[in-house]
Amino acid sequence: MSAPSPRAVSRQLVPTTRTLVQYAGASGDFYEIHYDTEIAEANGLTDLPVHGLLKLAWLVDLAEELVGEGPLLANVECRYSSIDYRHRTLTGHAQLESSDSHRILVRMWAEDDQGTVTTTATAAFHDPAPRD
Amino acid sequence: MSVDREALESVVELVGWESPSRTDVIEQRHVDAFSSAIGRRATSGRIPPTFYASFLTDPPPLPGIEDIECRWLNGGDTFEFEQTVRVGDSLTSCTRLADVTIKDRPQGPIALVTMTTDFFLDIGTVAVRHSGVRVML
Repeated sequence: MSAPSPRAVSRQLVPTTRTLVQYAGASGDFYEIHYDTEIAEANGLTDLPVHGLLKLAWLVDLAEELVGEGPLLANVECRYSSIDYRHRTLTGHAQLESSDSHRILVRMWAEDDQGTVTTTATAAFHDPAPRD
Repeated sequence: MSVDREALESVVELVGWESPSRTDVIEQRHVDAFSSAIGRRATSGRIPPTFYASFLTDPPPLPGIEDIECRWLNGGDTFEFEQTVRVGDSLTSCTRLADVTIKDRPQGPIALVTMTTDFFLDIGTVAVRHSGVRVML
């Protein structure tokens, strides 16, 4: 008998300048506030901000780790309520909200090193059979 | 510094604007680079769900937008997945300005700009839909 699946997973991340530049290159998002401190400061930011979509990518990866390899992601919704900056520890969480034979709902969120929730998201997974 | 309200109202007039369509082939090395950049641990071999953001343009490439002095923030993202996309597939995408909502705050006005992008497979069916809310302030 296999071990029961965990109902929640968490992971800490410390985004560096390299993290932001690497994501800019891979995603093609070269909005300068993410890698040029002068432009970031001119835009009222205190440092280089983490791309919102990078935070979402981390959270979706956590959700996929939680549900395992079988289910397919049907949709994900994310809201960014605060800016996160490089060199600041981010903690991502994914928690199983509900699960039946057709659908798995996962709630995700990220909090900064002050414990402030900066990003919230939900993901719905379904059985792969109807589509694959 | 706050953005000029009249400038935001000019963006409202663009609602319904559509970008030219673009077609991209999903390449393994691009998927690998993206997976590495996000520190992906999931090992299913599937394309990372937010990979399609690679074919978006941020800030949105609206006509005349570069003439507006403003800051941009990301307010939120939604992805819907209708069909499985695999390496080697061609994806044709088109972005539409779906909505602009202006809000007045004590610090000045802001606009919530909603862009929707549909990604089509060769056979003409929508594979992925992205909706993003970008904040002009």
